[in-house]
Amino acid sequence: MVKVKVDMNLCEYHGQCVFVAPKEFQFDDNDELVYSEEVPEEARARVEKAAKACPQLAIKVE
Amino acid sequence: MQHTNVKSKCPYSSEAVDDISLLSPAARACPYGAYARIRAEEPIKYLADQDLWIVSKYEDVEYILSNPEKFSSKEALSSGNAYRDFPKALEILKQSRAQPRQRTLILADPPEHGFHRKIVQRALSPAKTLRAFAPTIEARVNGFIDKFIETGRFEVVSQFSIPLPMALVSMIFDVSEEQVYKMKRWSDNFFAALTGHVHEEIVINAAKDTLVFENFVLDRVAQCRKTPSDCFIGRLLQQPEDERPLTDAEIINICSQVLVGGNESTINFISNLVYQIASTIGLEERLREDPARIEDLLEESLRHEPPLQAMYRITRSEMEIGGVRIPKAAKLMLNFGSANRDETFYEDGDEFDLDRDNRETLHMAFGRGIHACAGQTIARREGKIAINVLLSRLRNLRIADDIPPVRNKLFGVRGFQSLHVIFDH
Repeated sequence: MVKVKVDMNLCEYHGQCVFVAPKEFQFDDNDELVYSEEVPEEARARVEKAAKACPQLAIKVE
Repeated sequence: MQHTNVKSKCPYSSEAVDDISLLSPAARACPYGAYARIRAEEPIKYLADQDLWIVSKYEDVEYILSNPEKFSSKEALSSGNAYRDFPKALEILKQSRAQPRQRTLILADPPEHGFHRKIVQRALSPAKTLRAFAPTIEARVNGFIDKFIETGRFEVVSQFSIPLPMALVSMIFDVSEEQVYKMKRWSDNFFAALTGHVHEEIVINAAKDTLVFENFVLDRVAQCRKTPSDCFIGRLLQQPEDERPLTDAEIINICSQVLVGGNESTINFISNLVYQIASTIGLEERLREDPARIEDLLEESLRHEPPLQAMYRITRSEMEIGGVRIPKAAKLMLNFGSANRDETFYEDGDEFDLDRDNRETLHMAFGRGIHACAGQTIARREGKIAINVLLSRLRNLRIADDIPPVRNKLFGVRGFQSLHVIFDH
């Protein structure tokens, strides 16, 4: 499994991760960011892309 | 489902392709042929007359953006020397109340950059700004359309693209409509001076406007200190106790960047979107069938016609990029317009293709890394609201054949000076 962590002190709800990796990142009904903290290896490339797209550099992938 | 795959419309005149210095009117009208030639022949190309290195490949642009410790942003916005070559303009700037002038954000390097970026991000908070303003923006867009809907045609730039971001800028700075159009004039002059290769008069006007703008900001700062305000400048002043407050010079520089960044590129973004819809057969129908595709329209337009075509960096040491030796203190033009069509990453990159997967390869329109556009979410939302409302009110948009579109004259901002569109409703 791949670990995903979003630093919510940095996150500004730009929503780029939601655009790039909609399976792993979503906005809930209250516009709060929800995301999978562990994703399967197949999703690694997608969450890494989301981390790259984040204007706040708030997403860490391990 | 019907597929719309229309070749991009700008004709590659041989003159443009010949002029890889990107300075001729033909190259400015359509630079993409020249970009393609640079990518093919010499992907990192030195222009001796401008003492400038054009970086044209996606991978090299991304590498430079991702390594701010190797590349300085101190002159990120200008290919020329802005004020440096104009003693009269420099003389005017000596009267500035904010000395020494301060570089922030887009023009700053770590660690100062991070300090300013955090404060601006907090003050500009896209989430907060959009929650507060999105419904108003929609009403305002409807208002712009009300003014021309009966005539069956509109001039997109002045009647649609400019009023929308200016409405948002007026909300962010909490100023009147009259004031915001003054600010637009200042912004135009600042921007023109920055792009380099312009007449002295423009640079002198920009210097004069800089002083007027400083007074505007500093008056507002004084007001906000007296009566705390939730406008952008008011928020800049609300510093946590463990952080040093911003200096006047920093506040002025930040505000000028938010002003210019908040309108210039968004205006062209919106015009490009309308142009694409009006000039691409079948596109309007596809967006109507499935309005969720408006997001794909935005991303593909940003890739295909990034409003800001380039930014600049300076090498901090001698180095090698893509096999090319580059000296210390060299000025690099990071060409987003070219990177976004790089054949290594994009098949038929010159084509606008609504079905292109822009999640697969992320375009460079907003840059990347620590300097990535802080207003990109706001810009995207403006574009989305603009197109949503436009399609809900107008039908069968097409380019007017009596007055042809006029492209921007300045290199660097891809968009239109004027764009006449007709419609049914």
